[in-house]
Amino acid sequence: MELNIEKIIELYGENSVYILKENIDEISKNLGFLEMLGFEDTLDILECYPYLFLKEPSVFQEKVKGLMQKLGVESIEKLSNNMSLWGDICD
Amino acid sequence: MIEEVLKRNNINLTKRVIERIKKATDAEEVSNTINFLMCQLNISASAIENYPDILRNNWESIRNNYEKLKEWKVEKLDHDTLLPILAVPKEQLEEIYFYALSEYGRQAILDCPFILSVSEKRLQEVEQVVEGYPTDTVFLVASSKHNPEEIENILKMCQGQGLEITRVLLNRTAREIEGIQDICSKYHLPLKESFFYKHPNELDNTAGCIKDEYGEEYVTPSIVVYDRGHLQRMFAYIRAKKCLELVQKDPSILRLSLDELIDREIVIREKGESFTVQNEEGEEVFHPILNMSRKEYLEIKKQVLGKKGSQK
Repeated sequence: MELNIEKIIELYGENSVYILKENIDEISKNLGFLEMLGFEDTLDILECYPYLFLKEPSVFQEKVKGLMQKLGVESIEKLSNNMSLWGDICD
Repeated sequence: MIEEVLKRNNINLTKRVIERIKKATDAEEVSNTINFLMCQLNISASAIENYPDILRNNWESIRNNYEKLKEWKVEKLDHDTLLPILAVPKEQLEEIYFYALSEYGRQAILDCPFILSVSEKRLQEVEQVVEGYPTDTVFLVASSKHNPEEIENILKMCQGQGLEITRVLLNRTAREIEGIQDICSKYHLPLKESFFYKHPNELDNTAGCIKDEYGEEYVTPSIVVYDRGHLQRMFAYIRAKKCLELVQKDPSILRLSLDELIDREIVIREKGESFTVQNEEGEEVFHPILNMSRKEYLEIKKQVLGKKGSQK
């Protein structure tokens, strides 16, 4: 899968892409962390909630771990079946 | 001619930027710099386009900085971090490296190598106002363009509102930060980090448009973060389905583009179900297919449309 930049522009406006480009380092690290946890389509999460990935990696990891802990067992499955759950850590 | 050198290397810069480069150096120097960056460091034309000021520098100074980074084992930097470091005067690079090393240690430099593009004087100036903050925050603030007075105000605001100090927030000018605070007061919105990803005018237009067309109850942080055009398209479509009020409770449907939403709606219809369903508590909610990840959805779509195909 390739990142669907057009979708991000449609949802968040032209400027969002420049912001993502400026923070590509954080984004790569945060995507890597989700992959390490076992998430399969991490680009889908990035396209839906791009600003979540701009957080400093330590803050991002803390937030994701907190969310998974809150969801309990099979949290990855729950997050895949219900993408709205990611909204809890986006602000 | 500098223009010819740039053309030969597929580097597209505006006339204004080229004029700035011309004032600082000549075509031969620019050619040497580009050769070094592209042939020896494998830096792409687009990375140079993102940071064209590197071409205003003397290429020997750039090479010297690169050798220093190698000597200090500060390597494998992404190009957006590397270019501003290569562009600093060589004396400045040594000063900041040894200062940061003695005050914060080697790991801090490796974690936040961008600090090497900042001068020692600037870091010391910032240290006066960020006492007690973690090293990565000190470094982030030092690499911003704000003066100490602005930094103090930003830190106060972040502390008061429980906001994290991020690069995106620091990239906003003091005026833009004030503008965003004013918009939050105007629309009774809590100040959120995500608002700093938008220009204040854009945030104001989006919030104003949603308030005027759909009501203030829709002006929430999870809604106004989206582009105005997207919100207008999605709201019009969902309102036609007579379930717009559900967006207040579950704005995550807005993470789909209108085309994706319609695609999922077709699958829901093929299943003989409707756009909204009742949850276990008896509340009306969006159909679960609308909340699925792309992967889950594509599996369901294959099953539903595949079954239909085999029935035919």
